[in-house]
Amino acid sequence: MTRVQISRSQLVIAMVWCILGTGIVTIPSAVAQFTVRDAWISTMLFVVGGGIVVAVTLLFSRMFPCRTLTSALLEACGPWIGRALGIWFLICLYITNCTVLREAEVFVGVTILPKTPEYVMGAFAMLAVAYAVYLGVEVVMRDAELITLLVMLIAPILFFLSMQHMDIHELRPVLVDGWGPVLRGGIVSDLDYALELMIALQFLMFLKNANTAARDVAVAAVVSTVALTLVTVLTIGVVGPSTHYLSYPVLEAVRNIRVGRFLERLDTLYVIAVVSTVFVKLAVFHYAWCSGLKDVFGLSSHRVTTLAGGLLVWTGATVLFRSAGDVQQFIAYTVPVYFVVTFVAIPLVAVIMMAVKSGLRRRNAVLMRRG
Amino acid sequence: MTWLALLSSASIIAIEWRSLRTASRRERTLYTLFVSAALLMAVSFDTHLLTGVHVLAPVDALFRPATEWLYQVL
Repeated sequence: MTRVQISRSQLVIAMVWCILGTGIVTIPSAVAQFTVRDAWISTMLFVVGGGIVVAVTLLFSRMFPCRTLTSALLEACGPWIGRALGIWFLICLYITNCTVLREAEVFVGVTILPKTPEYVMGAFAMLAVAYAVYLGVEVVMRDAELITLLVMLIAPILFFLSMQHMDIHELRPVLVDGWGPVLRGGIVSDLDYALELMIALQFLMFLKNANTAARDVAVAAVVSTVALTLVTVLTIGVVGPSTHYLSYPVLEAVRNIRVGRFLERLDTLYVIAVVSTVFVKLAVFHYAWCSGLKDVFGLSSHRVTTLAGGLLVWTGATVLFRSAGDVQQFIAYTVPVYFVVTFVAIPLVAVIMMAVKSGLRRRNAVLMRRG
Repeated sequence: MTWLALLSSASIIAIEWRSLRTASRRERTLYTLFVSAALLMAVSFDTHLLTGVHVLAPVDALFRPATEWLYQVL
Protein backbone atom coordinates (compact mmCIF):
# COMPACT_ATOMS: atom_id res chain seq x y z
CA MET A 1 0.00 0.00 0.00
CA THR A 2 1.48 3.38 -0.96
CA ARG A 3 1.91 6.00 1.71
CA VAL A 4 -0.34 9.05 1.39
CA GLN A 5 1.69 12.20 0.81
CA ILE A 6 0.91 15.87 0.63
CA SER A 7 3.09 18.41 -1.14
CA ARG A 8 4.78 21.39 0.52
CA SER A 9 2.59 23.83 -1.36
CA GLN A 10 -0.54 22.00 -0.19
CA LEU A 11 0.63 22.30 3.42
CA VAL A 12 1.33 26.03 3.00
CA ILE A 13 -2.05 26.65 1.37
CA ALA A 14 -3.91 24.68 4.05
CA MET A 15 -2.12 26.58 6.83
CA VAL A 16 -2.80 29.97 5.23
CA TRP A 17 -6.53 29.21 4.97
CA CYS A 18 -6.52 27.87 8.51
CA ILE A 19 -5.50 31.36 9.62
CA LEU A 20 -7.35 33.54 7.16
CA GLY A 21 -10.56 31.48 7.18
CA THR A 22 -11.82 33.01 10.40
CA GLY A 23 -8.95 35.45 11.01
CA ILE A 24 -10.06 37.79 8.24
CA VAL A 25 -13.51 37.98 9.87
CA THR A 26 -12.49 38.20 13.52
CA ILE A 27 -9.04 39.82 13.79
CA PRO A 28 -9.87 43.37 12.56
CA SER A 29 -12.83 43.68 14.96
CA ALA A 30 -10.94 42.05 17.86
CA VAL A 31 -7.96 44.39 17.42
CA ALA A 32 -10.24 47.42 17.02
CA GLN A 33 -11.49 46.86 20.60
CA PHE A 34 -8.08 48.17 21.74
CA THR A 35 -6.86 50.42 18.95
CA VAL A 36 -8.30 51.53 15.63
CA ARG A 37 -5.67 53.79 14.04
CA ASP A 38 -2.78 51.47 14.95
CA ALA A 39 -4.67 48.21 14.36
CA TRP A 40 -2.42 47.44 11.40
CA ILE A 41 0.65 47.40 13.70
CA SER A 42 -1.15 44.95 16.04
CA THR A 43 -1.94 42.74 13.06
CA MET A 44 1.69 42.82 11.94
CA LEU A 45 2.63 41.33 15.31
CA PHE A 46 1.11 38.11 13.97
CA VAL A 47 4.60 37.36 12.71
CA VAL A 48 5.85 37.09 16.33
CA GLY A 49 3.40 34.27 17.07
CA GLY A 50 4.34 32.75 13.71
CA GLY A 51 8.01 32.86 14.77
CA ILE A 52 7.22 30.92 17.97
CA VAL A 53 5.38 28.27 15.92
CA VAL A 54 8.29 28.00 13.47
CA ALA A 55 10.77 27.48 16.34
CA VAL A 56 8.64 24.75 17.95
CA THR A 57 8.01 23.08 14.57
CA LEU A 58 11.75 23.06 13.86
CA LEU A 59 12.55 21.39 17.20
CA PHE A 60 9.67 18.94 16.86
CA SER A 61 10.37 17.91 13.26
CA ARG A 62 14.03 17.24 14.07
CA MET A 63 13.14 15.12 17.09
CA PHE A 64 10.11 13.36 15.54
CA PRO A 65 10.36 13.19 11.75
CA CYS A 66 7.34 11.40 10.27
CA ARG A 67 5.29 11.53 13.49
CA THR A 68 2.06 13.30 14.38
CA LEU A 69 2.03 15.28 17.62
CA THR A 70 -0.29 12.80 19.31
CA SER A 71 1.81 9.76 18.39
CA ALA A 72 4.97 11.63 19.41
CA LEU A 73 3.43 12.31 22.84
CA LEU A 74 2.80 8.59 23.33
CA GLU A 75 6.35 7.76 22.25
CA ALA A 76 8.02 10.44 24.38
CA CYS A 77 5.91 10.41 27.54
CA GLY A 78 4.76 6.79 27.67
CA PRO A 79 1.22 5.41 27.45
CA TRP A 80 -0.22 7.05 30.60
CA ILE A 81 1.20 10.59 30.63
CA GLY A 82 1.36 10.64 26.83
CA ARG A 83 -2.28 9.63 26.55
CA ALA A 84 -3.32 12.20 29.18
CA LEU A 85 -1.49 14.98 27.29
CA GLY A 86 -2.93 13.68 24.02
CA ILE A 87 -6.48 13.82 25.42
CA TRP A 88 -5.85 17.39 26.65
CA PHE A 89 -4.68 18.32 23.12
CA LEU A 90 -7.70 16.59 21.55
CA ILE A 91 -10.15 18.40 23.87
CA CYS A 92 -8.55 21.71 22.83
CA LEU A 93 -8.88 20.74 19.15
CA TYR A 94 -12.53 19.82 19.71
CA ILE A 95 -13.28 23.17 21.38
CA THR A 96 -11.42 24.98 18.57
CA ASN A 97 -13.49 23.15 15.96
CA CYS A 98 -16.70 24.05 17.81
CA THR A 99 -15.56 27.70 18.01
CA VAL A 100 -14.81 27.87 14.28
CA LEU A 101 -18.12 26.24 13.35
CA ARG A 102 -20.06 28.58 15.66
CA GLU A 103 -18.26 31.63 14.22
CA ALA A 104 -19.18 30.45 10.72
CA GLU A 105 -22.83 29.82 11.69
CA VAL A 106 -23.18 33.28 13.21
CA PHE A 107 -21.39 34.96 10.28
CA VAL A 108 -23.57 33.31 7.63
CA GLY A 109 -26.69 33.92 9.74
CA VAL A 110 -25.96 37.63 10.09
CA THR A 111 -24.83 38.22 6.52
CA ILE A 112 -26.92 36.15 4.12
CA LEU A 113 -29.33 33.73 5.83
CA PRO A 114 -30.96 35.61 8.75
CA LYS A 115 -34.13 33.49 8.77
CA THR A 116 -32.43 30.07 8.74
CA PRO A 117 -31.75 28.51 12.18
CA GLU A 118 -28.01 28.62 12.83
CA TYR A 119 -27.80 24.94 13.76
CA VAL A 120 -29.23 23.98 10.34
CA MET A 121 -26.41 25.88 8.62
CA GLY A 122 -23.94 24.21 10.96
CA ALA A 123 -25.36 20.79 10.10
CA PHE A 124 -24.87 21.33 6.37
CA ALA A 125 -21.36 22.70 6.90
CA MET A 126 -20.31 19.75 9.06
CA LEU A 127 -21.85 17.30 6.58
CA ALA A 128 -19.53 18.62 3.84
CA VAL A 129 -16.54 18.74 6.20
CA ALA A 130 -17.08 15.21 7.53
CA TYR A 131 -17.45 13.86 3.98
CA ALA A 132 -14.18 15.49 2.86
CA VAL A 133 -12.34 14.22 5.95
CA TYR A 134 -13.84 10.73 5.49
CA LEU A 135 -12.29 10.61 2.01
CA GLY A 136 -8.83 11.38 3.42
CA VAL A 137 -6.12 13.99 3.75
CA GLU A 138 -5.47 14.15 -0.02
CA VAL A 139 -9.06 15.22 -0.69
CA VAL A 140 -8.90 17.89 2.02
CA MET A 141 -5.68 19.32 0.59
CA ARG A 142 -6.97 19.24 -3.02
CA ASP A 143 -10.10 21.04 -1.86
CA ALA A 144 -7.83 23.69 -0.35
CA GLU A 145 -5.99 24.07 -3.68
CA LEU A 146 -9.25 24.36 -5.60
CA ILE A 147 -10.65 26.92 -3.17
CA THR A 148 -7.42 28.93 -3.47
CA LEU A 149 -8.15 29.45 -7.18
CA LEU A 150 -11.65 30.69 -6.36
CA VAL A 151 -10.45 33.05 -3.64
CA MET A 152 -7.57 34.35 -5.76
CA LEU A 153 -10.17 35.32 -8.34
CA ILE A 154 -12.46 37.12 -5.87
CA ALA A 155 -10.02 38.68 -3.36
CA PRO A 156 -8.03 41.01 -5.69
CA ILE A 157 -11.23 42.35 -7.30
CA LEU A 158 -12.78 43.18 -3.92
CA PHE A 159 -9.50 44.59 -2.60
CA PHE A 160 -8.88 47.01 -5.47
CA LEU A 161 -12.52 48.08 -5.72
CA SER A 162 -12.58 48.82 -1.96
CA MET A 163 -9.44 50.93 -2.27
CA GLN A 164 -11.37 53.69 -4.09
CA HIS A 165 -13.16 54.51 -0.78
CA MET A 166 -10.02 54.39 1.35
CA ASP A 167 -8.86 57.43 3.27
CA ILE A 168 -5.25 57.07 4.42
CA HIS A 169 -5.76 59.83 7.03
CA GLU A 170 -7.80 57.39 9.13
CA LEU A 171 -4.50 55.66 9.93
CA ARG A 172 -2.82 58.80 11.27
CA PRO A 173 -1.33 59.83 13.67
CA VAL A 174 0.67 56.68 14.27
CA LEU A 175 1.20 55.39 17.84
CA VAL A 176 -0.41 58.46 19.42
CA ASP A 177 -1.60 56.33 22.39
CA GLY A 178 1.72 54.52 22.74
CA TRP A 179 2.47 50.79 22.43
CA GLY A 180 0.07 49.59 25.19
CA PRO A 181 -3.14 49.35 23.11
CA VAL A 182 -1.15 48.01 20.14
CA LEU A 183 0.31 45.15 22.20
CA ARG A 184 -3.04 44.37 23.83
CA GLY A 185 -4.66 44.30 20.40
CA GLY A 186 -1.91 41.99 19.17
CA ILE A 187 -2.69 39.29 21.75
CA VAL A 188 -5.59 37.84 19.76
CA SER A 189 -3.70 37.69 16.47
CA ASP A 190 -0.46 36.59 18.13
CA LEU A 191 -1.62 33.96 20.59
CA ASP A 192 -4.97 32.85 19.18
CA TYR A 193 -4.59 32.74 15.44
CA ALA A 194 -0.82 32.42 14.94
CA LEU A 195 -0.61 29.47 17.32
CA GLU A 196 -3.25 27.65 15.29
CA LEU A 197 -0.43 27.08 12.76
CA MET A 198 0.80 24.44 15.18
CA ILE A 199 -1.82 22.13 13.65
CA ALA A 200 0.86 21.47 11.00
CA LEU A 201 2.47 19.06 13.51
CA GLN A 202 -0.44 16.66 12.95
CA PHE A 203 0.41 16.56 9.22
CA LEU A 204 4.21 16.02 9.41
CA MET A 205 3.89 12.30 8.67
CA PHE A 206 2.31 13.06 5.29
CA LEU A 207 5.22 15.21 4.12
CA LYS A 208 7.92 13.73 1.91
CA ASN A 209 10.58 15.48 3.99
CA ALA A 210 9.57 16.61 7.48
CA ASN A 211 12.65 18.84 7.75
CA THR A 212 11.02 21.35 5.40
CA ALA A 213 7.94 21.72 7.64
CA ALA A 214 9.35 24.65 9.64
CA ARG A 215 10.15 26.53 6.41
CA ASP A 216 6.64 25.88 5.09
CA VAL A 217 5.06 27.10 8.32
CA ALA A 218 7.26 30.23 8.11
CA VAL A 219 6.02 30.90 4.56
CA ALA A 220 2.40 30.44 5.72
CA ALA A 221 3.00 32.81 8.66
CA VAL A 222 4.51 35.53 6.42
CA VAL A 223 1.73 35.22 3.81
CA SER A 224 -0.93 35.38 6.53
CA THR A 225 0.73 38.42 8.17
CA VAL A 226 0.85 40.31 4.87
CA ALA A 227 -2.75 39.43 3.97
CA LEU A 228 -4.11 40.31 7.43
CA THR A 229 -2.19 43.60 7.55
CA LEU A 230 -3.42 44.64 4.08
CA VAL A 231 -7.02 43.79 4.98
CA THR A 232 -6.77 45.67 8.29
CA VAL A 233 -5.25 48.77 6.62
CA LEU A 234 -8.00 48.71 4.00
CA THR A 235 -10.77 48.21 6.57
CA ILE A 236 -9.61 51.02 8.86
CA GLY A 237 -9.07 53.27 5.83
CA VAL A 238 -12.60 52.66 4.55
CA VAL A 239 -14.67 52.23 7.73
CA GLY A 240 -12.65 54.52 10.01
CA PRO A 241 -13.38 54.81 13.78
CA SER A 242 -16.69 52.91 13.34
CA THR A 243 -14.59 49.74 13.13
CA HIS A 244 -14.59 49.74 16.95
CA TYR A 245 -18.37 49.17 17.04
CA LEU A 246 -18.77 46.65 14.21
CA SER A 247 -18.68 42.86 14.47
CA TYR A 248 -17.73 42.45 10.80
CA PRO A 249 -15.86 45.58 9.70
CA VAL A 250 -14.35 43.94 6.60
CA LEU A 251 -17.87 43.19 5.40
CA GLU A 252 -18.74 46.89 5.77
CA ALA A 253 -15.67 47.85 3.74
CA VAL A 254 -16.77 45.48 0.96
CA ARG A 255 -20.39 46.70 1.16
CA ASN A 256 -19.18 50.21 0.29
CA ILE A 257 -18.15 49.06 -3.17
CA ARG A 258 -20.26 50.54 -5.93
CA VAL A 259 -19.31 50.50 -9.59
CA GLY A 260 -21.44 53.00 -11.52
CA ARG A 261 -25.11 52.74 -10.59
CA PHE A 262 -25.67 49.11 -11.30
CA LEU A 263 -22.94 47.00 -9.65
CA GLU A 264 -23.20 46.76 -5.87
CA ARG A 265 -23.74 44.28 -3.00
CA LEU A 266 -20.44 42.55 -3.79
CA ASP A 267 -20.39 41.41 -0.16
CA THR A 268 -21.99 38.18 -1.40
CA LEU A 269 -18.67 37.37 -3.11
CA TYR A 270 -16.84 38.09 0.17
CA VAL A 271 -19.18 35.75 2.07
CA ILE A 272 -18.60 33.01 -0.54
CA ALA A 273 -14.83 33.39 -0.12
CA VAL A 274 -15.06 33.34 3.70
CA VAL A 275 -17.36 30.29 3.78
CA SER A 276 -15.05 28.42 1.37
CA THR A 277 -11.95 29.10 3.45
CA VAL A 278 -13.74 28.29 6.71
CA PHE A 279 -14.61 24.94 5.12
CA VAL A 280 -10.88 24.28 4.58
CA LYS A 281 -10.10 25.29 8.16
CA LEU A 282 -12.82 23.05 9.60
CA ALA A 283 -11.70 20.15 7.42
CA VAL A 284 -8.03 20.51 8.41
CA PHE A 285 -8.86 20.74 12.12
CA HIS A 286 -11.39 17.91 11.95
CA TYR A 287 -8.87 15.68 10.17
CA ALA A 288 -6.22 16.55 12.78
CA TRP A 289 -8.70 15.73 15.55
CA CYS A 290 -9.75 12.40 14.02
CA SER A 291 -6.15 11.34 13.34
CA GLY A 292 -5.28 12.34 16.93
CA LEU A 293 -8.13 10.15 18.23
CA LYS A 294 -6.77 7.31 16.09
CA ASP A 295 -3.31 7.64 17.69
CA VAL A 296 -4.44 8.14 21.28
CA PHE A 297 -7.11 5.41 21.37
CA GLY A 298 -5.35 3.00 18.98
CA LEU A 299 -8.11 2.97 16.36
CA SER A 300 -7.73 1.23 13.00
CA SER A 301 -8.44 4.37 10.94
CA HIS A 302 -9.31 8.04 11.31
CA ARG A 303 -12.61 7.20 9.56
CA VAL A 304 -13.95 5.44 12.66
CA THR A 305 -14.66 8.78 14.35
CA THR A 306 -15.04 11.07 11.31
CA LEU A 307 -18.84 11.01 10.97
CA ALA A 308 -19.72 10.54 14.65
CA GLY A 309 -17.12 13.18 15.57
CA GLY A 310 -18.61 15.57 13.02
CA LEU A 311 -21.99 15.10 14.72
CA LEU A 312 -20.40 15.82 18.10
CA VAL A 313 -18.73 19.01 16.80
CA TRP A 314 -22.03 20.19 15.31
CA THR A 315 -24.00 19.81 18.54
CA GLY A 316 -21.06 21.06 20.63
CA ALA A 317 -20.83 24.31 18.66
CA THR A 318 -24.39 25.23 19.62
CA VAL A 319 -24.30 23.99 23.21
CA LEU A 320 -20.85 25.38 24.16
CA PHE A 321 -21.51 28.84 22.69
CA ARG A 322 -25.03 30.17 23.05
CA SER A 323 -24.39 33.46 21.24
CA ALA A 324 -21.87 35.36 19.15
CA GLY A 325 -20.90 37.25 22.32
CA ASP A 326 -19.91 34.00 24.04
CA VAL A 327 -17.59 33.15 21.15
CA GLN A 328 -15.96 36.61 21.13
CA GLN A 329 -15.43 36.58 24.91
CA PHE A 330 -13.93 33.10 24.75
CA ILE A 331 -11.57 34.05 21.90
CA ALA A 332 -10.41 37.28 23.55
CA TYR A 333 -10.19 36.28 27.22
CA THR A 334 -9.62 32.52 27.45
CA VAL A 335 -8.04 31.22 24.26
CA PRO A 336 -4.69 33.12 24.35
CA VAL A 337 -3.24 31.37 27.42
CA TYR A 338 -5.15 28.14 26.66
CA PHE A 339 -3.40 27.95 23.27
CA VAL A 340 0.01 28.80 24.71
CA VAL A 341 -0.33 25.88 27.14
CA THR A 342 -1.76 23.46 24.58
CA PHE A 343 -0.03 24.36 21.32
CA VAL A 344 3.36 25.48 22.62
CA ALA A 345 3.97 23.82 26.00
CA ILE A 346 2.71 20.31 25.09
CA PRO A 347 4.86 19.89 21.92
CA LEU A 348 7.83 21.26 23.88
CA VAL A 349 7.18 18.72 26.67
CA ALA A 350 7.29 15.96 24.02
CA VAL A 351 10.57 17.30 22.62
CA ILE A 352 12.19 17.66 26.06
CA MET A 353 11.06 14.22 27.24
CA MET A 354 12.40 12.62 24.06
CA ALA A 355 15.71 14.48 24.41
CA VAL A 356 16.04 13.28 28.03
CA LYS A 357 15.14 9.72 26.98
CA SER A 358 17.72 9.62 24.18
CA GLY A 359 20.32 11.19 26.50
CA LEU A 360 19.73 8.47 29.09
CA ARG A 361 19.81 5.78 26.40
CA ARG A 362 23.16 7.09 25.13
CA ARG A 363 24.56 7.22 28.69
CA ASN A 364 23.45 3.65 29.38
CA ALA A 365 25.03 2.47 26.12
CA VAL A 366 28.36 4.12 27.09
CA LEU A 367 28.21 2.56 30.58
CA MET A 368 27.45 -0.87 29.08
CA ARG A 369 30.42 -0.57 26.72
CA ARG A 370 32.72 0.32 29.63
CA GLY A 371 31.46 -2.80 31.36
CA MET B 1 -32.27 20.17 16.64
CA THR B 2 -33.16 16.86 18.30
CA TRP B 3 -34.91 15.58 15.18
CA LEU B 4 -32.00 16.62 12.99
CA ALA B 5 -29.57 14.95 15.40
CA LEU B 6 -31.67 11.76 15.47
CA LEU B 7 -31.85 11.69 11.67
CA SER B 8 -28.10 12.30 11.36
CA SER B 9 -27.27 9.61 13.94
CA ALA B 10 -29.51 7.07 12.19
CA SER B 11 -27.93 7.93 8.82
CA ILE B 12 -24.40 7.66 10.19
CA ILE B 13 -25.11 4.29 11.81
CA ALA B 14 -26.73 3.03 8.58
CA ILE B 15 -23.74 4.17 6.51
CA GLU B 16 -21.21 2.58 8.84
CA TRP B 17 -23.19 -0.48 9.87
CA ARG B 18 -20.93 -2.90 7.99
CA SER B 19 -17.67 -1.45 9.34
CA LEU B 20 -19.14 -1.22 12.86
CA ARG B 21 -19.85 -4.95 12.84
CA THR B 22 -16.19 -5.73 12.20
CA ALA B 23 -14.86 -2.93 14.47
CA SER B 24 -13.06 -3.62 17.74
CA ARG B 25 -14.79 -3.13 21.11
CA ARG B 26 -12.82 0.06 21.77
CA GLU B 27 -13.88 1.55 18.45
CA ARG B 28 -17.51 0.66 19.03
CA THR B 29 -17.39 2.16 22.55
CA LEU B 30 -15.92 5.45 21.28
CA TYR B 31 -18.44 5.55 18.46
CA THR B 32 -21.38 4.97 20.82
CA LEU B 33 -20.00 7.58 23.23
CA PHE B 34 -19.78 10.23 20.49
CA VAL B 35 -23.24 9.57 19.07
CA SER B 36 -24.83 9.46 22.56
CA ALA B 37 -23.07 12.66 23.64
CA ALA B 38 -24.22 14.42 20.45
CA LEU B 39 -27.82 13.29 20.98
CA LEU B 40 -27.70 14.29 24.64
CA MET B 41 -26.43 17.77 23.73
CA ALA B 42 -29.13 18.19 21.07
CA VAL B 43 -31.87 17.18 23.52
CA SER B 44 -30.45 19.42 26.26
CA PHE B 45 -30.41 22.33 23.81
CA ASP B 46 -34.04 21.85 22.81
CA THR B 47 -35.26 21.29 26.36
CA HIS B 48 -33.17 24.21 27.73
CA LEU B 49 -31.61 21.77 30.19
CA LEU B 50 -28.23 23.49 30.08
CA THR B 51 -29.47 27.07 29.81
CA GLY B 52 -27.98 28.14 33.13
CA VAL B 53 -24.90 25.95 32.79
CA HIS B 54 -21.72 27.32 31.28
CA VAL B 55 -20.17 24.16 29.84
CA LEU B 56 -16.77 25.78 29.27
CA ALA B 57 -16.57 27.10 32.84
CA PRO B 58 -13.64 24.81 33.83
CA VAL B 59 -11.56 26.04 30.84
CA ASP B 60 -12.51 29.65 31.60
CA ALA B 61 -11.63 29.20 35.28
CA LEU B 62 -8.20 27.84 34.36
CA PHE B 63 -7.15 30.31 31.69
CA ARG B 64 -9.21 33.50 31.90
CA PRO B 65 -7.43 34.94 34.99
CA ALA B 66 -4.03 34.45 33.33
CA THR B 67 -5.19 36.06 30.08
CA GLU B 68 -6.73 39.01 31.92
CA TRP B 69 -3.48 39.43 33.82
CA LEU B 70 -1.63 39.48 30.49
CA TYR B 71 -3.92 42.26 29.22
CA GLN B 72 -3.32 44.22 32.43
CA VAL B 73 0.47 43.84 32.22
CA LEU B 74 0.48 45.14 28.65
